[in-house]
Amino acid sequence: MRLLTHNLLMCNRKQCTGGFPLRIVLDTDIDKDAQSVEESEFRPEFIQHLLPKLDWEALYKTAQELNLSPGVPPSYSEEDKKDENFLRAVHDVVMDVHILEGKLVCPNCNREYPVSKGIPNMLLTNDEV
Amino acid sequence: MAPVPLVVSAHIAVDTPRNNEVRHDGIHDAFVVLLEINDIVFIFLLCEISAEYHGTDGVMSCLPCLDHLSRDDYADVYEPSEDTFLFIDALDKELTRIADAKPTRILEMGPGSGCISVHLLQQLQKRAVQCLPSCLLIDINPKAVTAALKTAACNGVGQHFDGLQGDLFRAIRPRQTFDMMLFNPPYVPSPAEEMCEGGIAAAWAGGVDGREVIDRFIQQAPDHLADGGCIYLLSERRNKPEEIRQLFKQKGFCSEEVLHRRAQNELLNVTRFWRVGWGESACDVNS
Repeated sequence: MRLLTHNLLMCNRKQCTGGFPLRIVLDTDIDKDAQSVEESEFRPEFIQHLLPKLDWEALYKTAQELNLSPGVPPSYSEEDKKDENFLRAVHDVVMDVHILEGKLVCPNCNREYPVSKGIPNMLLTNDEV
Repeated sequence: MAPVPLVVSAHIAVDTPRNNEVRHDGIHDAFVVLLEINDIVFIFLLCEISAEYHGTDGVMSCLPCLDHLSRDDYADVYEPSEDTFLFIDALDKELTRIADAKPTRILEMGPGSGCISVHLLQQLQKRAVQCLPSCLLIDINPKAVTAALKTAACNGVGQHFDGLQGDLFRAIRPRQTFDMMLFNPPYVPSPAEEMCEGGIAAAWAGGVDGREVIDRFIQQAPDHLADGGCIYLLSERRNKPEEIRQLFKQKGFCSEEVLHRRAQNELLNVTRFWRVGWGESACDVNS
């Protein structure tokens, strides 16, 4: 799962509102990588189109929590949208960082959603729907 | 005399009449094996059916490579069938429109093997589209998500795909994210028990009129569709396609059928839906 996808996910229990962004807890007790960086082609135009679709506050917070360096700035200006360095930093964070093993934890109700082999399981039990 | 097998390899094109139209059904690799035992000649014809076929518009189309999926996998993941092929043909027909719209984010709901969106990405790639969209796959069946992501990786477009296990849009924030949605839904009318079975049944069991999942999709999808975006949805005659168009109309959407086809007892169609005021101006939502 890329952070691009994580940026969309929220807690969806009927008993919970406002569970966003989900906190990423990497599984460190395993032999395989819990997180990976896979370089992909940088397309500035694509990132420009993507910017208005991102929840920036959530992305910034998540990048901070994962200690991504250089990560992304707390906010961006119109000027930044044309700055290749800025666009590249966004690309590196949203497209290249993959969460492979761990869980997503609701900041509100602490419901945990497991992530296995890069695929989050957002399904609920019957009493949560 | 010991039996000596004689193998003759051939490459033959087969025309099969289907749906009352003659349609190239692909190139088949065939092996003829002649085996002589006690003066009796046994002839075996072994065929390998190729995934290549001609689309309805005469353009050679090609299913993504699915070699990574075995017979056993298809016990848990929906195997591409007539509905999948119709969807792929519909997207081929729409390819110029899709390429011109330059979608950034695509969602495929219920991808199964992943054929439909992987095919679309491959076609856009062939057109040398500079900015290939990023595609999210959501399926309730975890084996389908795994299979579909593998299909993307095996066909050279893996870096554009992400997948998650979920129940339609439940876990997705409504932010008008997606420029395009593709949905080949579970459309077969089925008893309620089958709806709850999970696994492969989720790929086809659609409940009353085959509409239960489709109707929930129609309720949720508009909140996630970007301005100027569109939805491609497959349905079958028993789903009452006219009612589906009405439901979308109530949500402020126009519609246009892209393709339809009869497949055995089913009459399938793929329809494009888009918001009033975006795209074609000829659409009158009150008509």
